[in-house]
Amino acid sequence: MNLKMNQKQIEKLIQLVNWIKTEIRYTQSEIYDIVKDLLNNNNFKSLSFLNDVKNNMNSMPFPTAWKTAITSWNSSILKEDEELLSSMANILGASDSTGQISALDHIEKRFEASYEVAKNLCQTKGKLYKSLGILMGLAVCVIFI
Amino acid sequence: MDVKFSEIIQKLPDKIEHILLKTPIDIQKNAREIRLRAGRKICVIYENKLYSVNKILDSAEIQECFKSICGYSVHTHLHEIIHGFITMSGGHRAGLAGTAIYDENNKLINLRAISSINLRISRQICGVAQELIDILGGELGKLLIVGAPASGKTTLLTDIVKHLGCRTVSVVDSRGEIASCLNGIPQHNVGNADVFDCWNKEDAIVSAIKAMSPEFIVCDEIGNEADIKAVEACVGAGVELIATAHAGNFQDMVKRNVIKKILKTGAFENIAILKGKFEPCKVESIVKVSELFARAGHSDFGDLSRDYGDITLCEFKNEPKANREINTISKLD
Repeated sequence: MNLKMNQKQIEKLIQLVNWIKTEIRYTQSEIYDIVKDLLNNNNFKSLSFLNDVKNNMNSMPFPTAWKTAITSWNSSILKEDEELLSSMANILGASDSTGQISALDHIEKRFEASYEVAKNLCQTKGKLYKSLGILMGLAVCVIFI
Repeated sequence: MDVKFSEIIQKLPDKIEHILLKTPIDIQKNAREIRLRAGRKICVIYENKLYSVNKILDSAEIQECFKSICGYSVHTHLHEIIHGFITMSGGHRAGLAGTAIYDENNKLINLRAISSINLRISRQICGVAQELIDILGGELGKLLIVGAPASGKTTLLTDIVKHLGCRTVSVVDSRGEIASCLNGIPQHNVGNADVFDCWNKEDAIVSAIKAMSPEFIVCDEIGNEADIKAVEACVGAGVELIATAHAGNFQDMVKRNVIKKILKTGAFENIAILKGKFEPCKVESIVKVSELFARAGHSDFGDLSRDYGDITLCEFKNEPKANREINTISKLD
């Protein structure tokens, strides 16, 4: 697994949840319009599943569209984070603004916890893998010499 | 397939849409409502008849229909849901019945366990107001349209707004039925009217007068105490009000204390009483408010709930304007 990419994607997902909360709180836009606006926002270009969500919504209910798009997303995030993201399908648009924002707050906190773990992993294991890589390279050089 | 019928059923889950697509075309073309009820068969109301679809909906299917109609965005439509309806694209609307949720102040804050959905198919009919316009000689201001449910009050009102096209009109669309705005765009043809969508009447009328310089203000379903203040805001502001109110007939109307109070404000000069749901948008009679007060016997309006045995309404006769008198509270021969 690409540790750096995992960290970056979780960071983006935290921003995504925050953005959606703001939209629901202040504009109360329909979910379809929120997804369209997300796609127009360059900040979320790396979250390619959003395009699939929009396309899927033409032929299936939003919860199914969201879950299907997440399942087929080629991401670097862990399985539990993928499930957390998928669970947003049952929150978005399912209740009043206050209820949704409260549930999304909880999702955001869990993503933030995952982000901290990913960041630590990146720092510790990242250094380890880098060192291992250098040693492997030196070993190969020695063998050839 | 009927376009309007198809427009409305597309908003339902695929399974229910496919079932309703099998409705005979002649029924589709005349369909007025589609009734979805938990534990009961789907019904299509057309021409005062009922077509029953051989499919019983369970609670889960009703909830799915509700979410689908909301565009899976309950939060967007919460204000409408609390008032028991959702406006759909095409000007259609879904009436809702379910379990009410009240807060500690006994204020309705939400609905849950939706048990019935009434999909009202909107068919804006142009020209229905012509009869009324002809009777009143084009003077549509200060008009109250009174009728029973499904008598065509709102259809008539929408056509009046369209007719007033070149005048400055503000539409107070508290229930989203006159213009049926979706994302700010009226789904019905309301000409150049400015639409205050889902506003309460008093706020909208005050805002319209301050900001939109209307010649006419149009609103639907006045008939509660809060509406009296709204109506009073128009009086003396140089704005003419056109509104509707519920009442089965003249006798029912005069029994409603709120209507009496509203008429006392002086905001209305004429009352158009509609025939009823079997002849929607048809005018039974016109009542001049000043005559009504005069007949009441004294300046203080009086108790109009007593039986006005000697006051009957002149039946509207389909005569050319030149031969017709508008002053129509008189005895029938």
